[in-house]
Amino acid sequence: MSSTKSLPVTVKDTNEGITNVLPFKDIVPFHLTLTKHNLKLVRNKTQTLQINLGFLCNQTCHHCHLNAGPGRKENMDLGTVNAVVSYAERGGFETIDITGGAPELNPHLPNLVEKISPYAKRIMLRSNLSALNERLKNLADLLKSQGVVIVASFPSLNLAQTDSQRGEGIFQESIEVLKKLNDIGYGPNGSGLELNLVSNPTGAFLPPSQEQIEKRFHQILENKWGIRFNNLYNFANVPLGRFRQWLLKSRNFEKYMKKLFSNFNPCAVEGLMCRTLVSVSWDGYLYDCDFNLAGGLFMGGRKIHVCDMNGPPEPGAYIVTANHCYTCTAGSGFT
Amino acid sequence: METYYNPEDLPKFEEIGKEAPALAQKFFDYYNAVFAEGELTEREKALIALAVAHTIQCPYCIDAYTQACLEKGSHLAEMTEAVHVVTAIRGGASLVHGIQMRNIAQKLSM
Repeated sequence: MSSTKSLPVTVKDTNEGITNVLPFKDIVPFHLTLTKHNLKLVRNKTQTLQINLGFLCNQTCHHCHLNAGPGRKENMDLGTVNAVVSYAERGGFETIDITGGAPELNPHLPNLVEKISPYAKRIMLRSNLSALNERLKNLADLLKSQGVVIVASFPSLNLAQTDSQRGEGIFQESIEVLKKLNDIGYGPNGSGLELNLVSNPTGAFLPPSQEQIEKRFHQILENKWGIRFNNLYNFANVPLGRFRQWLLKSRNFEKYMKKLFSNFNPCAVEGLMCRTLVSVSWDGYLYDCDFNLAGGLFMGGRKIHVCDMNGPPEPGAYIVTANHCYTCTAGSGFT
Repeated sequence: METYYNPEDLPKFEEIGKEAPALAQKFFDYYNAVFAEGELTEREKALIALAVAHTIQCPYCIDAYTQACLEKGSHLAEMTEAVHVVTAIRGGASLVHGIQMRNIAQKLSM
């Protein structure tokens, strides 16, 4: 157990306008933990522009920090897409990271990919696979011609675990789509088209070591289904949105928060993604990361629209933190 | 209701070192070395520990190694199979002693 002095802490549910205050007598606020370790969380050179195209999704995953789903109306419009493309041109980012919701459900996705590709070396599309399935025929040529990296959600090698997190039938559909992606040239086959997987725990527990689980995913996916991929990234679930609701409902919230807190690793702070990434939401406002977007915490604590930015955020700029930041500093960190 | 087992005691395990720190240190060093990646992966070792925990019926160990198995990437079907493995061994150990019963009964019987 940590020897940190206990302070009474309350957490306010900011991301859904629900005031849900819970006492956590053993959890120190994140910014005080940084201070205790003589750490400051400020920006380095911003290399990645993450674009959240909206909260509309065909799935309602239990671990979603954005509470994305079929009923959500927030979707980036063409005007904002154009403003984001223009920002990418001004910003000189190395990587564009397109996410959602399910970005495939935004009708402006092809337009965005085509227009933004000249402004960054690496374009990534985060996909839940099921949304890509029926749209792959239409999107395949564009994704391949622009060398778009596909980052696919694939939480577990087990059907029951996957379906319990993402919905019935999702595991089998994901396997089918991964095979299709291999068939059109995605994966480590010399084509240069990168296919990466993202695995999130299917409950209130931390993820395994990335190195060990990646090896196992490679072995089992190839042996059982002949599927090949490039890299696997392992992320802890962030206690916001629907995942937070599930934690509360299942009475796992306090224990999970304590687990994140007690696994704080000061060495993880240096490599946190918020130091090199800026996230733009569906309505064009900027956040230090997608989790702060979910929590309604604007970049640097100020509501700034992408049109009002001349370039990337300055190195040394302050990064807004809250207790959900313990997710990214647990264990080896979330970079 | 008071019980002999309290889940909040599990994180206090290290307190056992207060009266005999040198012995506790040796034990925890050994314990940590055992569960580190070796010829077996950490995931495999956690599955063995979970199975043994059921055999010795230690609620602390079942709690700790259920979480450990999930965090090492195992799923419930694998964990359930591991429990069946020790159940088979435990049941088999009882059943094989039936041979002793048979030997004794045969010796005593006409």
